[in-house]
Amino acid sequence: MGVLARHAFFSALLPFLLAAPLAPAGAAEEGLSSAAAVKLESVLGREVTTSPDGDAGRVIDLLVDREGTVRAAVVEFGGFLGIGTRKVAIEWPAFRFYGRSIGVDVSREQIRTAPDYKGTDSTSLVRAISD
Amino acid sequence: MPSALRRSERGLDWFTFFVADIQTGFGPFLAVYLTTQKWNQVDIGLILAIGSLAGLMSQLPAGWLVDMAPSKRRAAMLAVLGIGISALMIALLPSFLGILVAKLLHVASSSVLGPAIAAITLGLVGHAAVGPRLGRNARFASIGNGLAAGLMGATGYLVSPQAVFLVTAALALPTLLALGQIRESDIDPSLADGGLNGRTAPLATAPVAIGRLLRKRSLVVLTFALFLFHAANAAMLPLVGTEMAMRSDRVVLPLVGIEISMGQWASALVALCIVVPQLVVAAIAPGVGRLAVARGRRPVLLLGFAALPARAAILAINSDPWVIVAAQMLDGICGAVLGVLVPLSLADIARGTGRFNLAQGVAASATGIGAATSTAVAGYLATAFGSGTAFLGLAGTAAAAFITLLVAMPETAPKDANGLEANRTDGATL
Repeated sequence: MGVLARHAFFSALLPFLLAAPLAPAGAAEEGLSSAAAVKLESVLGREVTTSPDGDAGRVIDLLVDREGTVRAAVVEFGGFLGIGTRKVAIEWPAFRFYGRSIGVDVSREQIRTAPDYKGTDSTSLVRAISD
Repeated sequence: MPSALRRSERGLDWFTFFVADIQTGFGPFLAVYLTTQKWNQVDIGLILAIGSLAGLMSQLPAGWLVDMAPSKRRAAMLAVLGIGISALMIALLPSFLGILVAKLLHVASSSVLGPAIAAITLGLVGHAAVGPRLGRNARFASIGNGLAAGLMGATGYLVSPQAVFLVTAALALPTLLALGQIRESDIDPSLADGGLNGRTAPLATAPVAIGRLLRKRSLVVLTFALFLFHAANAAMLPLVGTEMAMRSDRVVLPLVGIEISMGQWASALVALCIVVPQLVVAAIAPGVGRLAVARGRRPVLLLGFAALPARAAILAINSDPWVIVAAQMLDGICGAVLGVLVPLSLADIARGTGRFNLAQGVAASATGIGAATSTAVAGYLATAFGSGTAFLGLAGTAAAAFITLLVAMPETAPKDANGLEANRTDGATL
């Protein structure tokens, strides 16, 4: 709840922050947008929020298959000052990207009962609710 | 008590308070901060492993160094500066090299600061008064710990994880101011090393050979018991935290009726598990110090060591969040007894050797090795057999620590006129 409110605050502020420096350099910005068609962003360390319940966590690792396709991300939830955190591997299709914020389509109950991610070969993934 | 000495003692109160504050952010929170700085898990694991290894190796040299240092106050000042600079580097230079240097600087500084505080205390008040004074230190340290946990937790959540380390660096300043209130001339350098009778015969005798200290039976037994104690203790709170995260259900706060999310509820419970023992320590530590003077060290040590297997057993068979929080009160008993009785017993044991701080380094090494063993073994047990088994394993280790003390630990309180006998009468009037 607090986290979401914080997001809303910064999202509302963002256009003003961006508008100021970009306004005088309109031409340069146009040239850039045609050259770099796809904007890429890092997700490591980014905050994610579970869609139904609004629990906040942080992406700490990406898991790929043999071909290098991203299959899952490890998300760290909860804890206080780093004690009592919980790492869960969630399948990649469960992630939803809405502009600046990342949602993940899994329920609180799923995270609660999911096995702790240990970084071993047999990682069981938390699946999206919609599956 | 002359007013100048009182001012030094006030300075020591606040110094122990602020030292606890500036140490809070460096724990498991560092790993959280580094993930927000886009560090990967391998690098984070590597930094933490290097840090613990360096911590283990630095305790003995640091203790030896503090014994050798002519001014314990200056040693403490440099250590606080080191911790402040380390916090600033962590906030501003989160590259691998930057964090590595900062971590090593923090480890070295902490290894000096631990014994230096006890040395300043002993040098300030002498053997006869050091028990209650160590209790007072523990009280102020735990108030500092509790408040810092709240402050740092709120800062990390509301501002940014980076801000936690900026706040830590800023808090180094009041720490140094408090240290400045302790007058150098009030600290007897000979007493601070565990030498005899300080002022009357300042530095008349050289410290005894290190081997003679290390062969003392009471030191060997206490060191081994501390190793077992921390092998049982260190993994317990992290394991409790993980349990909380897994078992806490949807929660509606009583009175206000607001439903809070699982993550927030689990975090709040872990925060309670951290703060509750600090409150207990703050309440009972001075009493523990007086009790150790009135009744001797051995029974009080045994009491503290008995609380740990009891706590582990409760955690092994129970998963109700409120019972777990209540069981954390036992952790407060352990914290108060160890916080007071370990430096007090070491002061007894090292009395007249001039090697008080080296003895503290020995105890700190045992503590570190125990803690490292604990997380590794309990982590394995929890993964392979479940957390109930892990808690039982920890309970067994805690019981072994208690039995070690019960069977082999002698009373260390001095029997001469300046020691236990004289203080027994004090204790009776308290």
